[in-house]
Amino acid sequence: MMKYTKEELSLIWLDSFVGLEYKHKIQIYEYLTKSQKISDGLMLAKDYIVKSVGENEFSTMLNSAKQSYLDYVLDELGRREIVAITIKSKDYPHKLNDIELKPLVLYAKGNLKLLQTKTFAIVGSRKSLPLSISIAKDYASTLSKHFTLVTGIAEGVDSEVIKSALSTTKNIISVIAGGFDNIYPSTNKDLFERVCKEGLALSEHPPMITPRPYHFPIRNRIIAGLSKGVLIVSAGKKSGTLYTAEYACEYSKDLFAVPYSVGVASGEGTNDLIKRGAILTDNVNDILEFYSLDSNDELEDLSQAEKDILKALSSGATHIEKLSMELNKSTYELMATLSILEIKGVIVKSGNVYGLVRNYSED
Amino acid sequence: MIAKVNGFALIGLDGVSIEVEVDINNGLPAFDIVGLADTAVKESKERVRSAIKNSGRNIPIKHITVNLAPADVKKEGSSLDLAIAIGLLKSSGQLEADTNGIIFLGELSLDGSVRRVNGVLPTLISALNLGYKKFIIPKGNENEASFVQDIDVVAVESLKQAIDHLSGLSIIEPIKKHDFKAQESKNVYHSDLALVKGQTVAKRALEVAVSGGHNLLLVGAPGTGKTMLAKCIPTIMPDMTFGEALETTKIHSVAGILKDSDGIVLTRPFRSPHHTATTVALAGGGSHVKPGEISLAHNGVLFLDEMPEYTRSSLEVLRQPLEDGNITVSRASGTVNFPANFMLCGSMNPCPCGNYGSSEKVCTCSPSQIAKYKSKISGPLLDRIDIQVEVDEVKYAELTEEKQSESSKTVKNRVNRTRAIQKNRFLSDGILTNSDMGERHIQKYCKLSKECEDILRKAYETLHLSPRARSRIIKVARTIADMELYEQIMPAHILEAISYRHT
Repeated sequence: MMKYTKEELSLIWLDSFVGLEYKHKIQIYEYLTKSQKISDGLMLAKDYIVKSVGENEFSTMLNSAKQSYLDYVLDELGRREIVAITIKSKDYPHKLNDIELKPLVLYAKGNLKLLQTKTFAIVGSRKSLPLSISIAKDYASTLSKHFTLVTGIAEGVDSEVIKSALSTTKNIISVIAGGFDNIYPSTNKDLFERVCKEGLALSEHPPMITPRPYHFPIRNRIIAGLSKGVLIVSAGKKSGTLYTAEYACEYSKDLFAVPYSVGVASGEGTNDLIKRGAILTDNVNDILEFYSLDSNDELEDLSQAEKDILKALSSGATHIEKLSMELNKSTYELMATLSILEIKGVIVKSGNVYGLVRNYSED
Repeated sequence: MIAKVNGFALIGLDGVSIEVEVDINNGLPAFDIVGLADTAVKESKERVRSAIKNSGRNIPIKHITVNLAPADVKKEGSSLDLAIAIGLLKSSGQLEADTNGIIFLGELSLDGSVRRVNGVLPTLISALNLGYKKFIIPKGNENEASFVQDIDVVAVESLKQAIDHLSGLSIIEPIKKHDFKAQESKNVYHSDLALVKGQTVAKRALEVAVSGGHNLLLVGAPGTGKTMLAKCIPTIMPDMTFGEALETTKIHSVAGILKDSDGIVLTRPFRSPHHTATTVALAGGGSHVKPGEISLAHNGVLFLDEMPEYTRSSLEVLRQPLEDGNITVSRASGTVNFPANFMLCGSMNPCPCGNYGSSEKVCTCSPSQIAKYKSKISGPLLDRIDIQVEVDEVKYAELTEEKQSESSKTVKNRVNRTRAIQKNRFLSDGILTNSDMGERHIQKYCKLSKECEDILRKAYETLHLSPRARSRIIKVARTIADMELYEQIMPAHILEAISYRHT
């Protein structure tokens, strides 16, 4: 079992009272640091606790202020192989020091070393167009070679980012909204297990907590806080993803957004972000260049037919029939070339529409 | 005096000859039919009574007993009417004729005319196999009977005609046999690929699917022309051979959907059962076993529109027939085997609301709704569908475009050529098309060059293909190579096949 210091233990103990508000926890923790034993510290805090949260809560806490209760809490964590990282732990990511209401305890499962790496967040709305999901997938596989990717565990973009990272470098941190026992959506439980095993899963709540709707936007502050930059792949007008963008601005992180063509409803959110100063990203190299990373964009030996298609696609995602008219080739001839470009990861397919995911300019 | 006359009862597509025994005794006047007869047969005594009276003969006022032997086979329907009436006339001494070896089929009308019955073609073929060569059938079934060679068939319009023919008063000539070849030109379809605007990707997929006998799944929003495309599939399938036509006609005849005028089914059937169809409606069944939609689609196309809307159990029913080409229906009354060798074409929306992937309309479905919708088609069933293709909206400009695209006839010629190549290749393997290939055939006939293997491996990694997708892709690539007259599968063929994968 994990060895925790006295300070850590008192934080873990305190965090197990889920009814307490954040500001109260901070105050009570101040009192707890003043004495050796938790029960003594609690007596010092009695007046404050009774005044702010009531007599009942205080007596519950007092009754729990003993070693057996603490052992129980630690047991529950140990049993699930969860490590508690408190603000006093050396593993605590200092990036989170800048965010408001920084979690007193982070519950973590998986590869803790990922917390010390360079991180980058990719998020998007659950209801994304297939093309944006393909884009997320593609960007994630490139970016995971340079960063540890941070995301949630929702369906759509989040899941694809996780899957993409797991199949490449396994540099992935997934921050979930509730406790580890209650994954939402439950269909992603298997994916969550894989993240725990190969990447890292984080939560600011003890394992038994069920996620409530308000947990999700608050959780986004951790995603934004952990990351050096945030890429918004898709966001509707009222998407929860926009909260992540807000937090990213607040914490002065680099904000990137994938643009949408005019009139596409599910893209209004990201276009708004770009209007307000987010970095327009229509290519993964936009991000790599921003961080002066090796973009490695040399497209190896493309055939003339492939080049023709890329040139035609450089004016935007195009339907195969339109391509066929422009290039004067039958659709089935094109399909072979399109497939190979897809395999090379230069373009993505959504139905019969194909779009570029790399910069292509004719030299 | 006892009279014996032959009728016939079908069980599935085969049958047994029924001996109709009529005896007239003294006693209270009565008319009894015994021998496991269903209601339609029992009711026949009323029809027989009136028909005989209205044909100028009379019913003896005695105790009449009709026995249908063998007594343990269930008899159903009205086709025994004629045999019962003839037996009765013989038994009462009103008709003297040799009816030995003649099988009588036909339903009587009260005025004495003979109405058409279902299942005449399978009856003739099955009876011929049992050694019967002479038949008297209703005039209405004349056309379908004309395609069976080596038998003597007399078609009658009324009971009176039958009596006169048997007694030698006015002999009716046996019906003339039709030549199948002469009929083939009647092969007409209402759809044609030339009438489908745009959709070049889907049309190509259709051609690949038909060429290699692959099952097909069309994915697209409502109103994009999936049904129209599917209806074109029979038009590019090779012409039916006589054997195929006869098989299909037999099933249609039993099911009672054969048109009088046609006689034989010359166009490949296109069946599109509604998604509320029950398992029995699809597979066949009932107390007296009837063929289901999948058998009616034999040698043709079974089109399942809005595939995920079908109940799980009715979809799963397709699995065995897709593998074996026939279906075995077991009921209390017996076990019947119906042929069901069809090409499956399914269609579905990309999501429950139909707008997923559209750039113009917003999809209102949650990802879990979409996943649930897609999962309604089970993995094992999807495994039997080699080709998936997206059908998308045709722009108005394209709809009105003058340019005519290729006609079904041109495509059909190419399909015939590709099918011939496959037939030659599989001569010793007992299969007909590439889609029938098993792992063993794939290893034998689909040797991949190193380049092709590389492409497949890369695709497997970057496009996250499932292991099962591999053999599907190779089979489709084999078909494409055949279409392009290549001995070896080339990289381009593999790549095109990859674009028809499930997404």
